[in-house]
Order: sequence, then structure tokens, then C-alpha cells
Amino acid sequence: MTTLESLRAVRRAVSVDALSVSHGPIRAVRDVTFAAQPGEVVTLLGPSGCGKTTTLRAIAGLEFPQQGRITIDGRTVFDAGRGVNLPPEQRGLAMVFQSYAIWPHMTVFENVAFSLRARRIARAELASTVQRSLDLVGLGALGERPATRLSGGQQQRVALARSIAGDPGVILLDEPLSNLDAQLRLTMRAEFKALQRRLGLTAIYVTHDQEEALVLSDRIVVMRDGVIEQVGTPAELHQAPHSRFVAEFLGVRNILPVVGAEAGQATVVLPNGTRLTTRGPIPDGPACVCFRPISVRLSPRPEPGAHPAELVGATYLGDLMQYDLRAGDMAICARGLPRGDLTEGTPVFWSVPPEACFLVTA
Amino acid sequence: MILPRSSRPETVLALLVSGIVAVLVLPPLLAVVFAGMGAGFAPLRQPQVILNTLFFGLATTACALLIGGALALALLPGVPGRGILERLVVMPLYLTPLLTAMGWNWLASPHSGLLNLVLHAVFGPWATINAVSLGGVVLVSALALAPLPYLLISDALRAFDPALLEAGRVHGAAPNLVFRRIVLPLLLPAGLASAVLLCVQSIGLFSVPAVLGIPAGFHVATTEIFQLLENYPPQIPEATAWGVLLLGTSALLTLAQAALLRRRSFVTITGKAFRPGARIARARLARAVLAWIYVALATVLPLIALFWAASSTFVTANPKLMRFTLRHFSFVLFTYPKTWLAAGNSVVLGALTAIVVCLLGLAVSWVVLRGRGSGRGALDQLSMVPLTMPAMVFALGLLWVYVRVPLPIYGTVAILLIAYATHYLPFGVRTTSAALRQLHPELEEAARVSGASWLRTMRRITLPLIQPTVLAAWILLFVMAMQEVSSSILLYTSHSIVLSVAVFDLWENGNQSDVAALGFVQLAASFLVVTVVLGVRQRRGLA
Amino acid sequence: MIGRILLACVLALALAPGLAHAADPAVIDAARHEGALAVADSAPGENFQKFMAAFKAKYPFLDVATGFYSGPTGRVLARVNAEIDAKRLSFDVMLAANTAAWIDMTRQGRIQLYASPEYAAYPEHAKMDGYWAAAQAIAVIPVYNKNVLPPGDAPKSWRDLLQPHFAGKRMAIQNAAAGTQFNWSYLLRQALGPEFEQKFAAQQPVVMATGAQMTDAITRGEVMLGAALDHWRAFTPEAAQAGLVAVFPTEGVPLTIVPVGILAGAPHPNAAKLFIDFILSQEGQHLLDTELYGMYSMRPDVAPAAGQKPLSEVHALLPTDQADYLRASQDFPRHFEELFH
Repeated sequence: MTTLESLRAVRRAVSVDALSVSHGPIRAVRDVTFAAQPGEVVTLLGPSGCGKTTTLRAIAGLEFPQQGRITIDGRTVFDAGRGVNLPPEQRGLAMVFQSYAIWPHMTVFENVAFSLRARRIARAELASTVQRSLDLVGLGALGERPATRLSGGQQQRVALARSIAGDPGVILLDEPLSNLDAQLRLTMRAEFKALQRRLGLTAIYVTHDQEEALVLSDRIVVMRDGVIEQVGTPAELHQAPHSRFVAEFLGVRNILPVVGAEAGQATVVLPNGTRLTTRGPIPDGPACVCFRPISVRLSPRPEPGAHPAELVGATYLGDLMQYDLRAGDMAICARGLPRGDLTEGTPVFWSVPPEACFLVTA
Repeated sequence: MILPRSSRPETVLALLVSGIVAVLVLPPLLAVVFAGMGAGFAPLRQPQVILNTLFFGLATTACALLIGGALALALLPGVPGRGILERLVVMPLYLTPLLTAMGWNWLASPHSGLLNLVLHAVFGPWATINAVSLGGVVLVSALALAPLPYLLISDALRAFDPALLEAGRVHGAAPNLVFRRIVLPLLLPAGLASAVLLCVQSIGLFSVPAVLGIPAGFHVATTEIFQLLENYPPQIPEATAWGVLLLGTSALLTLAQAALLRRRSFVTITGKAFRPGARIARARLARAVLAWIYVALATVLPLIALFWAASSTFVTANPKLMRFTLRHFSFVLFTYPKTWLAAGNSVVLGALTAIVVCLLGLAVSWVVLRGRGSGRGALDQLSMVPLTMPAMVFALGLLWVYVRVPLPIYGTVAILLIAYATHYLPFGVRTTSAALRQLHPELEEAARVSGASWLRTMRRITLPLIQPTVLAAWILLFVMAMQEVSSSILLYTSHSIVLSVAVFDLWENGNQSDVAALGFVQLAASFLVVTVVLGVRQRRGLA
Repeated sequence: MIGRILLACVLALALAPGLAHAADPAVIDAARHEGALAVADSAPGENFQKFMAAFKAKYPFLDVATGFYSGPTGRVLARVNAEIDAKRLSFDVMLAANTAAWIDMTRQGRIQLYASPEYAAYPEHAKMDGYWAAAQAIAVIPVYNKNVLPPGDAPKSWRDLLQPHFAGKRMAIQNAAAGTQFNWSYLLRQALGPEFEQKFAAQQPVVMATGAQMTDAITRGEVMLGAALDHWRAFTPEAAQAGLVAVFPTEGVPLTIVPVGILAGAPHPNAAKLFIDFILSQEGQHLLDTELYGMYSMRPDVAPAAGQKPLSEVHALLPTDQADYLRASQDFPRHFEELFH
């Protein structure tokens, strides 16, 4: 019934070169370079103030960068050197805002139809296109509802429908899920992913939620203080973060400083003397060893290769239990299935398999 | 920073607007400043008048702010009769300060005031209210000006998130504490803006001090200016020296306000969930009574006095001599040649002024709030300058400039329009910028990214969303333009005479009952136009 | 023989003062070409329109409505002088109740010389021959409300106003900007000496913004008596009904004259001449002063309005030394401020 072929957008690529944006004296984005291939979801991930939103807005034409170049499918939309700066309405993009920006004085239909009207689509085609977009996001019956009578989730869907209605090649999303409750967030995440795949949209997504980034992205660009820390696929970032910052941001809870190393065996020494064998390589300069809580093996009895510690806390997390260990000054976080043989306040022995230990620069 | 090549409409707008505002504001300002400087600073010879003016300004501001703020809080949702009360409390704007003062003169002059005669009969001769006094001038001015802070503060309250109050209560704070620690600080911007506006308006107020102050021996800067100009030869340098004094005071106040307020976020319309205002049920009856008392004092009693004067053969409180007649109404409506001409001029001028100021104000607000460029702050300040000049002195500057400029403006309605539009520009900028501030920028950005040009975004998104506020601003501007008298009396000719001038002329020279009757014509004209506009809005469902 | 005929002619002319002199046809013709007349007038109210209507009836080809401007004296003078300063004078004729201003403007060459034949009928102190003459004359007198003031207390002289029952804000005067008030002050100082004004100030009179305000205050009984009021305000129908009584003090009555004249550089000089001839003629004066305004005319052949004493019976006080008058007028605001602040 719904001919998706008619909605299958032209896949477009986006490239950003050496982009710098300053807000007065503050340099919000410094020399950022990355690209999104056609049909790819690239996520800009980082804490508040890292410049991810500014970068996104610069791509949209809502910020005025000082330097750099932005091209969309080979067409230069911004080039500081040559004085090119296309206004937003000429860049052929779509954007979902954090506040959704649903226009309150229009109906749902009108909101979605706006971009089509702006591009002067014929009326007959307009109605059917709008309806298709609404159907795609599951709001097919709500066309005539005034925008003021929508729930948060519905507004988000309308924003999405509005974006896809005009056949954009590229869709920009600025933390679209952060204002939804947890359950809705999960649902919308999955729906968006499905929609993006169906339509083959190229998406640049901004979020501070690493889980969201890992689920949705084809590639992630981790940013901090206006510069790029690391670019990679979710798997790459998850397995091998380059720096402590990236590791922390991606949820690696155990990051311990290293005081010595034995290069040949990729073994490192921790401040309290504990030796851990890692999967290497050992970077130059100050380093930290990282391992995820889920990789920690615990035993109430001493075992070869296990290090002593005291179990100071056991927290129920639903599916898993979190065990907090202390060994002198060192704190270790472990997670695993609930078990009855570990009691708070008793000694416990922990170990991590070498392949789960990796090193990052400090 | 490189501007997009196609941001031409925005750039053109910015330049055009800056140019217009500069041309409107600067020449008269400079004319006044240079003329006033060369007069040996006359005001220094009358320190009493300076003190009077400052005292009058501060006292009136304090009273009006108190009354207006109390009204705004009293009329929060939940008070009985709110709909009609909201309309009645702004009636003093229609009534004009001059007529309010005249009404109170007839009500409360010490020997023959209507009210006093009633009080004497009931309580004895000691029970006298004397409006012809310093206290009378301050209180009557405060009554007349209170709608301004009321409007500003109740706007701020409307944008309030009731959750802020609820949060305070939930955390165990008593209502008083909630009020002091949460409500008052959040109302600070509106309160400060009101205070500065009131101070500038009151030191520039002429009609109330003229009617109630002069006979009391209480002189302020505006009455001094007026008398200096009425002398022969008109002592223009001295008058403008007073103007410079007023200008300086107002400028200081405005700067102080800007420094105190800094930058705050007022974003409330975001396109997200819309919550209706909470109802506040505390002290409903007391609040209603308070509001009705204000309405009685500021509107009903003066109107009664005016009506009584207009329908008496001559104004007397002696029951043996009182006779009633329609003669004065008939004179004003059918014989006095100025009435209909003035009424027509007033309505047309008022409507045009409101339109021009709304458009210009909107353009300025947009450039300042949404534009990019280093001159925006300067444009904002420039558009606020007319606030710092009393209308009378500004008109003086205008007269000089346009008498000398070879444009066929002098002596026409156009010069009045320029005077009004410039004088009220700050109101327009403030109200439209409040409307724009409340509009989340992402609503416009979403339109731009969706493919709409700047112009289309304006037309389809920005303007429709701020339209209710702009319409309210239009109405306010119209009503205020209808009562403008200080600049009109310097600039009018027989063709361009307006109602406020006709009333004032009659007050100066003619039968006082005729003045009262003409006052009703003025009131009716304002009221009628506003009712029509509101009716049209209702019918088109634009509310 | 010829001499007797000549004498007869002269006597005939001299003894026929009531005739309005017929206007020169050349002037009428020129005025017709000009087609309009712009009058700036300070006479209050709408009565002046009626006067203009009568003038227009005589010369229907003149448009008198377009350029007409009326307002209080101060504003009329300000507007006219502003225009002259900017060399954009739009007015031909001015009627303004401030003699000092007229003297000053004549000295500055701002008044056009026109030897209207009507000037002959005016006494010396009511004109500056050829430049301006008094179109109206107002006596500045005390007026009281008989329903408020006990009849035994009614004053008959200026000195009566110094009695104790008039003290403490029971009397009103006008403010310094009123030409009437200046005349009152100056002329009474001449007639009664400066002590009168000082003692009068000690009575603490209320200062009213205008004569209209004073009339209202007296009518309502807010003040007992207005000490310096335009006499005609006491003779309107409302005044009579309200019980206002005019007093013509025995020591004499200051007179304020309202001069009329042509402005130098008037755009329609010939129409202006016709107007001057009309307004200063017996017919014009009778219409303007006796019928419409109830003011005095300085022409001896014009009778006052009903109920008013003729000027000849009133000991009218007028300034005699123009230079002194002018100087005093410039000093008046300061003088008034000192006395009555």
C-alpha cells in the first residue's frame, strides 16, 4: 500500500572539514573533521559543552563558523575560504530539534506540510505525502489534531514526520530523545532506527547518552571541549577506546592508574602492587588500565591469579548485581548475576581475563 | 564571520530599521541637548522645583508600582469577576490623566468638592480630602499611571510556571516565604522595568500637576517648562535646560535598570507541553474588593464627577443652584467646530501610530534579538532614547528641526505622527521584544531548515505566534496615542488638531462643563475603536 | 469759499465717525487674487469663528478656514515667532493678548505698517499707529460669588481686598504667564504703589493656571473671590446664573488690550488689509466685542455689552511708558515668583 519507493530518499553524504566555530571569545568547535557516508548514521557524542550541538547547527546553517568547509553530497554549502555560506533553507536538510519545535498554532497536518509548502509541492501530492509521513511514524489518524494537544512522544513523532516529509537526503537530530521518559525513549529509539534503515536516510545524531549512541550509530564521533577525541564504530569504541576520557564516557567503570609495566608480557603494575596482564599494547607515557565491571570474576575463596579485596557493597540492579570492592585505596566495580556466596564486609578475590583488560593514555 | 549571501533581507532590514530610528530619534534629541546647554542651566535657580520633581517622580512611582503590582497579584486566576475586572482596571488609560485630575479636582477640592460635601454632611467639617495638594497630585497621578505596571507585571505573572510556586510549597515553605523568595525575585525584571517606566512617565507628566499642583503651589519641571513656553518671548533655552535635566535623570534611571537586569532567559513558548495557569484561591474576596476599590477611585468616581460637571449648567455643589442641562453635550457635539475634526484626526493618528510603532518596534526587536551584527546593542539603546525625554521637550526639538527642514511636514498631520511614533517607539520595542523573547528560536529555525526563506518564516511562523501580544500592544499604543497631549499642543495646526489638544484648549480657556463633555467624547472615541478592534479579532478567531 | 467747502468736507468726515470706510477697490482686487487669509488668534472659544464668518460674508472669495489657528496667547506668539524665525511665515494677521509682545515685535520689525483709516478712531494708548490697535479690551477686576461671600463683605475697592476675611487662600489670582496678571500687577503698582501688591501677597492668594480655572473655582465656591479676572467672564449667562458679581474698584481698573495687526512678510497682505479695516471698524468692533465676546472696544463709538459699565465711567488704567512696560514684562516672572512663589 505505502509505496516506500516514492519515499526512498536520495542517499547523500556529508563531509565536514576543519570546522571552527567561536561564540565570542569561546571557541566552541575547533578544527573538527569528519564525514558521513550515504545512508550512514553518525553520532556526535560527548558531554554538555563539547561542541556537538554547535557542529550540528553549523551543518544546518544555523551557526556561522569562522573556518572550515561543509559539503553535502559534493555540493559546498559552506566554505570559509571562498566565502560560501548557503542559508538553511537552501541546504536541503531536515532537522529534529531537542524541543521538537512543533508550531503550536498549526495542526499536525500543517506542521508536516510546512516544508512541502515551502518547497512548493503541488497540493494533490502534498496531502498524500503528508499522510504517508504520518503513517510512517504511526500518527496516521492525528492529522487534524491541533499541535497544542499532543503528548511529548507524539510531538517527537510529528517532528520526525515533518523531517522526512520533504525527502531530505540528510537528517540532523539534536538530542531528540532526551526529554522522553525511559520506556518511550527505548521505543522511539527502535522506531527511529527502523525508519532510518527503511528510508536509507543519512543521519547525523547528537546525544550525550552513550547507550543511545552505541545502539543507533554506524559510527560515533566522540567530542570533548570542541575537538574530536576519537572516531570509530560502536564496536571499536566499545572495545578499544583510545583515551581515558572516551573510556569513561563509554561506561568503562574501572580505570586504574598504572605505575609500572613489563613490556614483553603486556603486564602492568598497579599502585598497590597488583599485577594485571592485559591484552596490550602498552602506550607511551602515563597510562591507565581499564576493564568493564562485567568482566570481573569474583570468588569468595582465594584462587590462582586472583587478587584480594574487601567487598564493601552489593547493590541490586535488576538483572544484575553490582559489587563494589576495595583494595587499599583502589576501588573496583564488578557486575554479575546475583549469587549467594558473597557477603558484604567479607574478603573476596577478583580477577580479570587479559583480553578484557586494555590500556588507555591517562 | 561570514554572513550568508542570501541573508540580504535580514541585512536590509537591519540597516533600514537603524536608519529610520536614527533619523527619528537623533535630530530632536541633539537639538534639545545643544539648545539646553547654552542657557546657563536655568534649573539651578529653582532648586525647590527640582526637589519637587524628584520627589513627585519617586513618590508617584512607588505608589503606582505598589497599586499596579497589588492589582496584578490580586487579579491572578481564581478571583471572582476576573474577566470584567481585568478590563476595568485599565480604564484610566482611556480616561487620560487630565480628565482624571479634573474629576478629582471637582470631587475633592477642600471647600467645594462633591466628595467633601458628602463627608462633611456625614462626619463633620474635619473630614476633608484635599486633592489640591502634594499628596493629591501624587495619589491621582499614581491612580492614573497604575495600569502600566499592572500590565507589565501581570504579563510576567502569566508567563510564570506554576510549578515554581508548587515546588516552593511542596518543600514546606509557607505562602509568604514562597512569595518573598520565589515570586518577587522572578518578578524583578518586570518590576524594575515598570519602576523605570513610571519614573520617567511621572517626571514628564504635565496634566495632573497643572490641574492639581499649580493651585497648591506645587511646581514641577513640566509645569515650569509649560510656563516658560507660554511666556513672551518664550524662554526656550530655559525650557530646554529643564528638558535636559529631565533627560539626564531618565537616562540615569534607564542605565541603572539595564545594569541591574543583565541578561536573563525568558523563554517560555517552546512548542512543548502547554499547561493552563493554576488557580490561586487564597483571599479571593479580599482581592476582588481591592480591585474594585481601585476601579472606584481611578475610574468610577472621576467619571461621575465629569458627568455631573458636563450635565450641569455650571459646576456647583450647592444643591439650591444645581441645574441640569444637555447644553454642554450639544455644544460639544454640534456647535464646537473642533470636535469632529479633532475626533477624526485623533482616531486616524492613533491607529496609524499604533501600526507604525508595532511594525517598527517589531523590526527593531527582531534585529536586536535574532539578528547578528555588532550594532544591535546600539540600536536597542537608540530605540529606547525617546523614553528618556518628556514628550513636551521632544516636541520642542521636533519643532525646531522640521521648521527648518525643507520637507512639507511642518504643520501637517505627518509631524504629529512622527512625534507620536518616536515617543511611543520604546513601548513598541519593549512589548514586541517581550513577545519575541518568549518565542523559542528553534520554532523559527525549524522553519528555516524546512526550506522556508526568512520572509516566509516571518509570515507563517513568527508573526502568527506573536500576534496576540502584538495586537494587545497595538491597542495599548492606540489608547495612549489618543491621550497624548504634551507634544501635540506644540505641533498642531487647525487642521491637525487632535482631541487631547481640543480638551486642553477648552480647559485653559473655556467653560469647564464643556471640557467635561468633550472629555466624554474623547473617552467614547477610544472605547469605540478598541471595542471594534476586539470584536473583529473575536470574529476572526485570532484570540 | 473753497476753504469753507474744504472745511465742510473735513468736518463732515470728522463728524461721521460711525461709517466704516469703504475699502480701496485695488486692494479688494489684489485680495481676490490672493484668495486666502490666515489668522492666528488668541481669543478664546468658538465665537471668533462667528466673527470670521461675518468677514467671509463680506468677502466671500477669501478662504479663511484653511490657515486659521487659534490657541492661548503664549502659543500663538510662539508659533508665529517660530515661523518668522524659520522664514516660513504662514500667517497674515495676529490677534494676541500680550501688549508687551506687540511692542517688542514691532521694534524687531515683525509687524507690517499699514495706515488703516480705522486707526484714527482709537485713542493713543490703545494703538501703535499704523502697526497695531486694540481689537479687544479686557478689564481686570475682582469677581466674587454672591452665594458664597456674605453681602456685607463685598469689596468696593482694591484696598478692601486686604481685609482679614480674604486671607488664607480665599482669593485667587492667575499665574505669571498670564498677560492679564502682569497688567494687573504693573498697573496697580503704578496706581497704588508697590506696598499694595506686597500686602496683597501676604493674603496668600491661590495661584490658578488660567482665567477659566479661576472662573470655575469662583463658581463652585472653592475660592470666595477672584482678584484678577477678565471682566467678560463675569457677564456670561452661566456667570449670571451662578451668582458671579463683577466689582469695578474705585481706584481704577487695569485694562488689558488685545492688539491686532499685520505681520511683516504676510503671504496675503491685501486680504490682511481688508481684515484690519473690518475688525477695527465700528461694525466689526461692535460684532466682535459687544455682541460676541462681551469685551470692551477701545473705540468710543462702540457701546459695551448689556450690564457692563462703559469704559468712560470706569477709571481705566493703561500703561503710559512703553519702554518701562516692556522692561517690566521681561522681569515679571522673577517678580511674581518672589512675591507669590
